Amino acid sequence: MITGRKILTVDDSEMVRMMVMQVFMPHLVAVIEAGNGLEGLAQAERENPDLIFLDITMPVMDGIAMLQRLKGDPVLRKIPVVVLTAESGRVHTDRMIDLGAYACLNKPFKAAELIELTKHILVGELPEPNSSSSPPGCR
Amino acid sequence: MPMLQSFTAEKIQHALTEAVQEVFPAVLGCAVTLESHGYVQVWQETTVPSIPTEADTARIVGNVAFAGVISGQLSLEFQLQFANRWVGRLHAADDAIEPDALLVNDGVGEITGMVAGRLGCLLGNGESPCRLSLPAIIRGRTIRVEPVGSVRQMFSHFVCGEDRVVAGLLIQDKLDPSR
Repeated sequence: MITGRKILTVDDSEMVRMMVMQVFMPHLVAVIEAGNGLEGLAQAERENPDLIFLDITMPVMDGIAMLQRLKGDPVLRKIPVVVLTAESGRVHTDRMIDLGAYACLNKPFKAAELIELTKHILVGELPEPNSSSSPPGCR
Repeated sequence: MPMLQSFTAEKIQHALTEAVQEVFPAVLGCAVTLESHGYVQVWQETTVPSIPTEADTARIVGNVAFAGVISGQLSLEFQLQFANRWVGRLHAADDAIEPDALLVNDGVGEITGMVAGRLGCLLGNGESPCRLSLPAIIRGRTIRVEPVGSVRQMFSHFVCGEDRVVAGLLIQDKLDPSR
């Protein structure tokens, strides 16, 4: 069950943040939001979410910089991060995984896909991010 | 940056249709059908046609540039009333309440980026990277998106319920005389 868990969505698009909220609302998952990487880091420190959905292209601080800062922090590095991006390509995805992202999903995401991945990460066994049992990169 | 590749207009057209038909149902919740499409070989034309418009109604156009195995710019043109309606619904607002203009800009820009990204993904077979620009929004009643230099221009009309969307593409790719 993912009920009662807390998710942080970091995206400069209010529409995307709303779409993420609407996916998790029926599952009684608390969704907190941030509009850029800097706000996202502050929210992550304050709220200690169970999972972060992270956009790449954002003002102030982009998703790559936020991911690097998260993974360089001894506490925050434990929070799994799923990259949500409209940009595509294996090289791009591999870079996100190398930086410590758990998975990379292309926008627009499907609600079922987001829920399935969230359950896998939060409830199922959490494989090592770069192991062969990890979800495929961009899908 | 990957090498630019040459694609036939039909291949690009097919990928654009597929991209729109994947993105729109996921975001707007409605199926989209291709109504018509056209190509313009700009360097052979003395006049550049604008994205066709149907009536003198307020419009909003999202523009996103993309760079990958193919580079160019995608424009998605909506009647403003339609954009207001679907953005409002996404934010769970009453149809009678017009959403804030910035919210509509955000929605139109984001969906344009999603289609551009999907187009790049399809043409690059999911392997080659496709970078996207920040979206730019244009509002007005008579809008012409025109190319500069030797680029290919194509456009597609889509029907989404009772509404229409026009997708315009400006393509800068490897020159292929047979295209």
